[in-house]
This record gives sequence, structure tokens and C-alpha cells, in this order.
Amino acid sequence: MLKDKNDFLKLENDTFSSNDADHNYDVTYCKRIIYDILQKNIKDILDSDTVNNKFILNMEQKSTEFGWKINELKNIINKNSDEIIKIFDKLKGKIEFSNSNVGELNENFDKLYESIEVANKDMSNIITTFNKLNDEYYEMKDITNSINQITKQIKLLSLNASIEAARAGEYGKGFSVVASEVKKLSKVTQDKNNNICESLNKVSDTINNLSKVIEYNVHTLKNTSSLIVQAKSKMDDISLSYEDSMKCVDEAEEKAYESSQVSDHATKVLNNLITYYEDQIEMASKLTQDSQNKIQNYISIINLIKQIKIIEKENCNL
Amino acid sequence: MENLRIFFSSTDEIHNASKEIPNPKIGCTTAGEIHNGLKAGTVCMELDSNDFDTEIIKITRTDLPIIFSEQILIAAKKIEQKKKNLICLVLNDGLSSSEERVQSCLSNILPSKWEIIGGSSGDGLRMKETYSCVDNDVFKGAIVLLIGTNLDYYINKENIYGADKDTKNKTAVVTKADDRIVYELDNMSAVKRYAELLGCKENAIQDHTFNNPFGTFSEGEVMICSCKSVNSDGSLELYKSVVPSTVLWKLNLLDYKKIMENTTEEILRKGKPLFTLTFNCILRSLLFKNDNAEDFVSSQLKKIGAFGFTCYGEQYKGLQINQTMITLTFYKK
Repeated sequence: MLKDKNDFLKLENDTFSSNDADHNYDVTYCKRIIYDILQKNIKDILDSDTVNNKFILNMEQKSTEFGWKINELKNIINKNSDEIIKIFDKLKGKIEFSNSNVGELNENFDKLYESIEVANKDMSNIITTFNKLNDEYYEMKDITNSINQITKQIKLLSLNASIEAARAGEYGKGFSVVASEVKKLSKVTQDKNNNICESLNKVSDTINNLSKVIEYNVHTLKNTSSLIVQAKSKMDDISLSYEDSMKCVDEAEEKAYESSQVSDHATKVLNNLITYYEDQIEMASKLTQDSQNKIQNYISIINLIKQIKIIEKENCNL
Repeated sequence: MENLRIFFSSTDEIHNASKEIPNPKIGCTTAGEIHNGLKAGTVCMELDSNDFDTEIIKITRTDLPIIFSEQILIAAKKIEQKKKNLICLVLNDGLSSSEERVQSCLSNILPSKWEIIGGSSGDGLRMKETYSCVDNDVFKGAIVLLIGTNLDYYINKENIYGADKDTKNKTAVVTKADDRIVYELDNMSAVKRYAELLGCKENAIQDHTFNNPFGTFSEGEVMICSCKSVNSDGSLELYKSVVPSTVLWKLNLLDYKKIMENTTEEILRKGKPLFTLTFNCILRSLLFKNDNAEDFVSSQLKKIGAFGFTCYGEQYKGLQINQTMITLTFYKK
């Protein structure tokens, strides 16, 4: 605070004048008492400074300690924050991965749905084809019945022909009727045979179609199966990712707990710091007060020095 | 031993008083006398020698009070042997700016068991000459009256100004000063900084004398430090010495009527006053006059048996202070 020693001890402009020349005084005594007082005042100042310096050193030491503690806390908090950020980044990665898997899984399910639709349609075709085959089967059964009927008729005709043959000699005309009937049956049989051929062709076609449909259906089922396998793999990935995410969450929770402990510690340190600063303020106030109390010593010293100068001036010949 | 008479009078009356009042006596000129209230005219009282042992030292050289130290110490020892309560009463020269020198001399040479208080003589605001008187000798200088008594006593410093510690911009540190002249506050022109503290223009500083004097803190107590003048070179002249590193607080006028009532109550609470030696600052008297509060002040002073004068400076615990009232009450047995 003292800018210039000369400001402090500016003694030139002494306002006093020694107008009482009649006063005789013991210069040696006065000087001795002045020196004693000066010494006392300087000692008071030095004693006070010694105490204050201890205060200041203590303040400095405590400030440094707090500085360290705060720095340590800062590092712990930073480290913790970094770790939490890393965990969250990891978690974010897992969630993104899960999201992508879920997206793909959705696509798979769409495909699976389409595939099942196709399979369903194929099954309908198969059922239709079976129905058709069934119809054709009945158709063939009818033809077979017709042929059986024809066979029975032929047997009857044959019997009749045998009978008529027996009468051939007499009744040749009757044989020609049988022959005509046999001819008719033969034609019907031929027709039925044709029908059978036709039906067989149809059955063959239907079976071919059915085979194709079944083959396609097998293919579709293979696709579906592959999609299900893929979906399962995605589900596994998601499940794995979920487990990882849960691990990350656990880790984050642990770090959060650590952070909360650090935070508790930080709060304690800060509370100590507040108390410390309150003490510091009180201490600073004491120091200021003490420095103000010393002003009286300075004023005494200045006044004593002024008096020494007067004594010196008045007694320069001594 | 004869009773010592103490009187206070105007500069016009002191010579008459020195002749008319019987010896032994001491007295000084004033800026207004006090006896059972504020009044004009010479006032006088006697110290009963049965209750008071006294020693008088004339400080005829306030520039060199140290030369009286031997005399003071011898006188003090005499008193110390007889009485338990020891008071050093100083009637300082009010115009030689010597109070700090005398006070620091006394506070340094007298043992700490001595209470040092005092008031600076005045001259009714003429600001020309103040006088002290010991017996028939009227002189320029100070008087040290050493009092020893076994009566109970109470010293009070009545301060009607206080520092508002909760607000900002309330302090300034003296960074350049010589004795009572402050050149710089906070490394700025003292006038500029003081105006800043007051929140007024530089030419309006003196309007704040009654409301916002400076204060210093010593041993936790506010010691008022008034501004005497604002100089054209940007410096301030105070009524007490400061040194660089002195922290000056801007003080605010408090409810002085309440404070005075409290002072009266406190003084009366301790016993029945025999009398109360009173040193009241002229700046306070002017404030009371401006506020038409003289009757109130007189009524309070009457209650405590006040006897003293309106002065140009007050001394308390060896320090020069301003705008304060110092009272020394002695109580009846």
C-alpha cells in the first residue's frame, strides 16, 4: 500500500514552529525516551507482523491444500465424466446396432409375411389341384363303372350270342342283333377308353401341376425357413445387444454411483471450502483491523521523528 | 490540597476568567460551553480534592510534547500511588493540528492503566486563536490533567454515524497522504474518489459533511474522521492524520436522537452521576442547530449532569477523532 517511503515520512512541511525559545529541555533524555518509544512502536509493529505473517502463511498453505484438493476432485470428476461419456457412447452404439437389427428384422418379417402369403397361396393351389384331382378321380371312377357295366353287358351279350349261336341255324337273324349290340358296346368301350385316356392325361397334367406347385411351395418354405433363421439370428443379435446395453447401463449406474460419491465428497470439500473462506474473510478482516490498529504506531513514529528533527534543529550546536 | 477548578469560556472571556476564577484552575476556550445543556457563557466546576487527586502539566510546546514526558511520568507516579482509577484528561490546542502528536506521546509514555481522553479548544468558529489557561497563565498550547480517583467512572464515545458494511463501494484506501492532507484515495485523486463514494459531484462534497464523514476502524470501533476542506489540487484536508494504508469508510448518519437517549440511559444505568465531563464536536453542534434539535440535546445533557464544551476535536483512547461526543462520568459514592 505504501507507494513511496518519502510519502510516509514526509517531514519537510512541519507546521510547527519552535516559538518558545525559553524552554530548556534535556536533549539526551528526550532522545532516549524518543528512541525507547520508537523501539516500542517498531516492536509492536514487528510483533503484529510476525503474527500476521503466520496468518498469511497459514492462509497460503491452506489455500494451496484446497487448490490441490479441488484439482484432485476436478480430475476425478473429469475422469468419471469421460468414462460415463464413453459408456453412453457405447450404449448409443449398442442401441443403434439394435435399431438396425430391429429394422432388418422388420424387413425379414415383411419378407416372411410375403413368403407365408405365397406359401398360403400355394397351399390353396394345392388344395384346388387336389380337388380337381378328386373330381378327375370320380370322373375316372364313373368311366370305370361304365366299363364295368359294358363288361357286364358284353358278358350278357356274349351269353346271348352263345344262345343265339346255338340257334344259328334256325334263327341267324337274332345273331346279327347281338353282333350289332356288341358293336355298339365296342364303340361305347372305345369311347370310354378314350375318356379314360383323356382323364389320365388330365390326371397326369394335374399331378404335374401339383408337383410344380409343391416344388414351388417347398422352395417358398425353404425361403421362409431361411428368413426365420435370419430373424432368429437378428433376434439373437438384439438379445446380445440388449445384454450388452444392460451391461452398459449397469456400468453407467456404477459410474453414476461413483459420481454421486464423488459429488458427496465434492460437496464436503466445497462446504469445507466455504467454511475456510469464511474463516479467511474473518482472518482478512482481522488482518485489515490489525493493519488499521498499527496506523497509530505509524503516526506515533512519524510524530516522534518530527520531534527528533525539531530537537536536532534546535540543538544543532550541541 | 485545594479543590481544582475547571472552566471553559469563549476567547473573549478567558482572560477575565483567568483573573476571576480562584486558583488552582485550568480551562480553555471553546466553540460553545456545556453545563446542564448547551449554553453560552463561561462555565466552571470544582473537583473535590477529597475525591480527586490531580496533577497539571502545561504543554506549552505542542510541537514537542516529548520534552514534557519526564514531568508527566513523575506526576503520573504520584497519582498512581494514591488512587486506583487513573484518567489523563487533555485539553488540546484546537488550531495547531497537534492533537495526534500530544496523544501519541501520552499513549506511549503513560502505562496502559491510564485512560486518555480529551477535547480540543475552540474559538467560536473564528478559526484564529485558541487558548488554554492554568491558574492565571493564559497560553497557546495544551494542558494535561492527570486525575486519580476512587470514584466509579464511565467513559463513553457517542458515535452518531455508522458504516454500512453490507453495501459495496463504501471504503477507500489512502494511497498518498501527508499528515492531515490526503492526496490520493485508491490511487485516484482524493476528491474524485470521495465524490464517487458519496455519489455526488466533486463540488458538492462539503454538503455531505454532516451526513457522510469518513470513519476508520480501530480495535473494532468506528473512529470518525471528518473532512475539513476540499482543495483545488484534488486533495482533501481532514481533521485528523492519516497515513497511506489507512482504510476510510464512508459513514452514514444514524438516528442520533435514539443514540443519545441510549447514551443517557447507559450512563444513568451505571449509577447516579456526580457530573459528566463532556467534549462535544462543533460539527455535531452545527448539525443539531440545523436540525433544530438543540433543546433535545440539552435535555439529554442535563440528565447526565454534563459539564464541558463544544470542541474542535475529540480524543479517545489516545486517538484524535472527530464528529463525536466523549463523556467521562464520575458517579456519586
